[in-house]
Amino acid sequence: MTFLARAFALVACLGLSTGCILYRSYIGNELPPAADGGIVLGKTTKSDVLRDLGPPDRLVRQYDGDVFVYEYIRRNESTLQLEEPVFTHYTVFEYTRVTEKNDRMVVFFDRGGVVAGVGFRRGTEQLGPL
Amino acid sequence: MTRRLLPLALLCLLCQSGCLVVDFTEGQTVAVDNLAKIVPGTTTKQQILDWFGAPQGIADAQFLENYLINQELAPGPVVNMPYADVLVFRFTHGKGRGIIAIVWNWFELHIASDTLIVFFDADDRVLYYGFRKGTDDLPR
Repeated sequence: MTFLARAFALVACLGLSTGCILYRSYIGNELPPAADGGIVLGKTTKSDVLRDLGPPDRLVRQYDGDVFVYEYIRRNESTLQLEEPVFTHYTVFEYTRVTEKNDRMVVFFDRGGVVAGVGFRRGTEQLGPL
Repeated sequence: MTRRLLPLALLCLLCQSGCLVVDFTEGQTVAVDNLAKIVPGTTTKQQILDWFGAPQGIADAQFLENYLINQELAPGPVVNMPYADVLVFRFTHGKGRGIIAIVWNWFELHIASDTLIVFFDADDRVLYYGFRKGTDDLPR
């Protein structure tokens, strides 16, 4: 194999683009470590929650009272792609993995604006490095 | 000649890299200086409108927010329907950056909001309110 042929083969191999794409998104504001720690059912008011945690990311209205939803979303996307880059853009192989986790807290209020229930789950800790 | 061209060709391939920076905002900034003026039980809805302007979802354009929601990049508006006793003022800021190389590409997107929500009683006076300056947590 001549040097020219080897060089051509090398450039051709490089040309057959192999790409790794890492995409990370962080949507919203991170919730404090013990976001639900200071909430006492039947006692904490809507005013207390607004003061301690700020406005909710979403307000849902129910017949029995409001619901505050706090949410912080993280998404990891990793893609490995092998394609012909010049003429056909033909994808020979592609592998994509999308993992989305969120920290979500839901606070239920009664009609008087007092906390009737609270649910909190910290999901972003389960997110892997890749 | 060929031996000289090969490194040049490899260099050209490697040079097909770049970086990407995205910065976008939507909505009016929340007039933080006016927050101290809000007194529950006293401040009226008209005063809130005078101090903070048009609330989200009623008058503000929401092109970016709608796009982000469609792309599943945002949780959605604070309230889906306009309520007479709730006003929301929101300023959204997004920062993205990326490195584009041949074999390795990396992108990162951060979106955060400053949000003020104000609840009113039947007489249109402030019942309670909450404010969070989320854009301070965005990376520099």
